[in-house]
Amino acid sequence: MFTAGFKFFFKLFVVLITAAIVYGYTSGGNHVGPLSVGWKGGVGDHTGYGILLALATVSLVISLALIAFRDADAEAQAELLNVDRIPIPPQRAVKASWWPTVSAFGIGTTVIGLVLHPAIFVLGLATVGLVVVEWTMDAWADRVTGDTKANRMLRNRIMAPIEIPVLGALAVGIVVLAASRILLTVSALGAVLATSVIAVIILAYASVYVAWPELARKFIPELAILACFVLLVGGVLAAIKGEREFHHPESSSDSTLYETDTDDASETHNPIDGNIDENHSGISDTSSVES
Amino acid sequence: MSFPSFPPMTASSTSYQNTMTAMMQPASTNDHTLIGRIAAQGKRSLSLRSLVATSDHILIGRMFIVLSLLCAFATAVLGVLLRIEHIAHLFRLRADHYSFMVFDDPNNWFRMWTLYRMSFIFLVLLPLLIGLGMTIIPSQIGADVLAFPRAALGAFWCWLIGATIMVVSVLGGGGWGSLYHVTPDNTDAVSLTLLGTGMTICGLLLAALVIATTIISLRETGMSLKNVPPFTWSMLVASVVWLTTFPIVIANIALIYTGLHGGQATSFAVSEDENIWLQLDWITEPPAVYALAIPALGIILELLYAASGRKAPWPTFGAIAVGLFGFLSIGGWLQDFFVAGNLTADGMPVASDPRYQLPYVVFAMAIMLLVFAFSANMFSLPRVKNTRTASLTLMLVAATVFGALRVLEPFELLESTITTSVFNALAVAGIIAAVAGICHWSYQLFGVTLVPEKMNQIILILLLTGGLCLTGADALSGVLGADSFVLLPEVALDVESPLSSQVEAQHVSSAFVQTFDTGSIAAFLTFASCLGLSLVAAGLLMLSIEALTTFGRTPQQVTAHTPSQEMASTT
Repeated sequence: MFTAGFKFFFKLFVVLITAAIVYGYTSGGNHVGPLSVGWKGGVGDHTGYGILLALATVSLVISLALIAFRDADAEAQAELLNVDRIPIPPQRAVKASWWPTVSAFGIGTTVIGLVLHPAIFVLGLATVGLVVVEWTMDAWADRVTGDTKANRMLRNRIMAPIEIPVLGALAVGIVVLAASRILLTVSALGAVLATSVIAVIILAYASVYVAWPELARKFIPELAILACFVLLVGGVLAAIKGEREFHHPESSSDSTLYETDTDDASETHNPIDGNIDENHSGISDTSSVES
Repeated sequence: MSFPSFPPMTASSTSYQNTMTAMMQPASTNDHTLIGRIAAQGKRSLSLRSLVATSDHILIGRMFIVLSLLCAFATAVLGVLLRIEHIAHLFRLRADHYSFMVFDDPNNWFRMWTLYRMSFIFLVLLPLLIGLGMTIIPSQIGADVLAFPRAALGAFWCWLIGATIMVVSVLGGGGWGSLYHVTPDNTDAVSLTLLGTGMTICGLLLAALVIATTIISLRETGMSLKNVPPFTWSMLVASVVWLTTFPIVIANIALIYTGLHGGQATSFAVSEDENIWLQLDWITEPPAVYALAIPALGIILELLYAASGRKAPWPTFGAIAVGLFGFLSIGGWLQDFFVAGNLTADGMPVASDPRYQLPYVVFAMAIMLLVFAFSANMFSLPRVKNTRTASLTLMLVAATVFGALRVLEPFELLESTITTSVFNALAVAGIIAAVAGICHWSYQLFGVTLVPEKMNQIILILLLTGGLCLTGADALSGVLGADSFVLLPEVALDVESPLSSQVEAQHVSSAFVQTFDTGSIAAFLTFASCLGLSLVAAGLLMLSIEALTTFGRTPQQVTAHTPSQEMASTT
């Protein structure tokens, strides 16, 4: 009736609860404190009593769980199901999925964004949210019918109209944000060189894709993962280092191009044609200049 | 697609034995059983895509193992560099009194010193043993898959990305605290280190949850907890202990992060980052650090069963010993948070009262003696397995003996370098356990005998000699009066008034030098420990290369390594 696992953990529970009570009374507990978990009286040393009580509770919960599920005892399970033969529960191998990995990258982005920039944080949260939905749908679709192909079709019919635009937007967002951190950190010349190299790589890959489409298609996921990883690490390093210093032009005529808040608030320079906009609207009346 | 199905059984049949016998048969590539599916993997090429999206527990386990072996080598090299810096101070090899040979300044030294410890726990020992468990446990309990294979893959990537963030941010100026006073310049990097650590721990906890759930819910009908193999039992105990211990670290990190960003969320939170390490170092000290070695006990018993061809005496007693070891290694209650507010009846801080640790030591010693007694019959076993078991047992006994010496009142070693020796002994014991397990189950892991016998012997001898050198030297230093390096931040905090950073750096350098200048014997012992760590690093390098070169191979045949199977294979 009682399984071996239940008996073991229940005995452990009895030993631990007894130990907790004895420890409580010997370390300063009074009245019925150690018996009533401190309801009436002191329990003595809180730390030791707390540890023993917590372990006793865990043992009790495990023992109850084991007896509830019959602890893999064939005889007990047969008795519970009222059958002679126990059907072996199927252990289905789940199909491969990208979502666990994407979820880890999403959490990583959230962690980095929490420290560096709210936009990255929101992006990470959005990724995690997306993963929750996708993973749930995958889990549902795995079991909806016995046919794998039909399951995939059902899943795609529901999810494809949502996931293609959302994933595209997310990919662009990650690339733009991480790349911007890197480009803002390296020198001006370095930024130009970096973007040139990236452009050349994309061009080279596109050329390979045109020439040998099958070969190129094989490496798309690998390249995407490598690029994500490089961007992530580069983004962290760049953000830790901070942006490079931006020097504004020194000349008076150029400085007006960048300064909108002047000491004299009545005069605002129009950055388009350099004329003074007396209406503070940013658009000068060019006709009056001509006249 | 059909899934493996075993014939239905009657309530009185012994399906466990039958299934295990079936699993010993040679693999056929066109069947759909577990063996067939795994054998069929040999025909598939191992691509990056399969590493990223796989749900195969063997592959996920191997990824954990190979990456943590590489991390182990890198961590050992970092440890050697730290000790070289130490030697440079002791032998006066520096340009002047305040300069450093390997690291720029004391703060960098301290940052790398903390990285060394955290890496050994979160990047080496835990993932190594988890990877071994993920690969071996399903076949030991008659399951085809892990309970949550996708969660297992998520756990791996969560661990990897968290670890990357953690290490990169430490190298970028972060870390778990600083020897200097508040440093607003690196607050972001420190925050990233903290959050990366939390993410790494979350990944490992998810993996531990997957393993525990697999053991509890996917055991074959007829296999009760009493009958599970020792390694499976030890991983169940370890997973439960880790699941109860490491969330406390995450809570610590949350409080520190809140404090670091100016919000005193609770009375425990602090705003000065130099206190960070003092709030987290409890996981590197006894008794919490013993939790890392729980699976090592299971591996010892497993090796003994396998080599002797019969069950060791009192198997239930062995299971209870493993459980007790796990129970006593719960150490969250000794963390430094409670020092200020939680005093004993005598007014002593809980963490420094030896009486609170003595019961643990007594139990640990008893368990180690029991394991030693189990090992008494190992001298009749084959030589390689004998070396594995002996090395592992010796390191574990060393760890518990040093732990006992540490808390015994007459010696007053509680805050000496013997604490470091306990940590290093357990780290090396965990690595030897993993190496022994990898070699023992190499067919299931890699499809080949991973390490030839001679090389196996060399690796084990390197690890054992290095481990004994390393831990023995640190323990002897502690007995001779060397203080634990953990005291360094407290030394730095003696600066009372705000000082310029240059003066502050000189003050810390001076304190650093005073801490290390303890005479020629100390210099010799440091040299010995450096040599020991170098030997460990060499052993790890050999094993890492072997694991890397065989990573692409897939298992050809799965053999069950339960005690009954071992008996059957022996006879």
